[in-house]
Amino acid sequence: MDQIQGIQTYAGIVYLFIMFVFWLAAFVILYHLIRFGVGNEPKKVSAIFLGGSILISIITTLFFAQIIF
Amino acid sequence: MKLFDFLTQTSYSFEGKKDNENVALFVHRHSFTLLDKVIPLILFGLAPLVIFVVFGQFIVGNGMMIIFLCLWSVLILFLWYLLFYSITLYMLDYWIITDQRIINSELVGFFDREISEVSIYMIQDVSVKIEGLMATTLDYGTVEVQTAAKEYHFLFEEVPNPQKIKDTIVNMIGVAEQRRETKTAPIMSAASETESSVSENVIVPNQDEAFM
Repeated sequence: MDQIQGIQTYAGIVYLFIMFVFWLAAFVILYHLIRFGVGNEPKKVSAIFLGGSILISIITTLFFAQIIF
Repeated sequence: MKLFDFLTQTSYSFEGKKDNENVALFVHRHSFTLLDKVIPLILFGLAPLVIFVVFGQFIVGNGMMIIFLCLWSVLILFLWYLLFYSITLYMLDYWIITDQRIINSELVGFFDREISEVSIYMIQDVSVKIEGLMATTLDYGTVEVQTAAKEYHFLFEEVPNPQKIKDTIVNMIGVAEQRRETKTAPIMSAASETESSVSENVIVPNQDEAFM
């Protein structure tokens, strides 16, 4: 029982760390594309990146939730 | 005003653009140069599929399916980031040809940008170099701009349609020359009128001063 709880805690910490690092890095990409991009293309690319990131984050969250909870 | 207008209503404006400056051409590297970074990422993203085909029974039999899916989703998240990191470097590495200057912005890494520019009046020679089978087939190459400072070369590397870029630069030089002549003409005529009608002590601005 304690071993399972340990795995759950460990998975939760890993999940939070991955999400924190990913969204920090994602913000840097979005910032660069919107701030320094010239024309329409960088804005479109940043919208695609944001949409895809949210989708993959949700999928990752669902998988990790099965371990954590 | 629609919510997503900002995606389509943006003109080619950039930092430091002058009011009377017109953009003639906006150039990225050829998209083929991006492919050699994207293809390995796609292949790497599909690698777990091969692992599952080979070790599928072991993974399912030991109840490790959910751990496998977690690791795969994290890998996809990481590769998604790397893909857009490459695309961001590609998109923020560009050349702008205006009727007054040529600007090169290069993103070496995040928070590490190099911006250089050359005045259109400084350009002395423009040459095109297309080397290799792929470059010839896909029509991309290097445009070299030689300026008045002999040691300084301005390079458009791996750009599509290099001939068109060269022609645009040559056209812009022509436009700049015409502009210079039209600006000079009234000054020169005023100078000659002044010289003939007023005394010899009148100082007429020379051409260089007139353009400051």
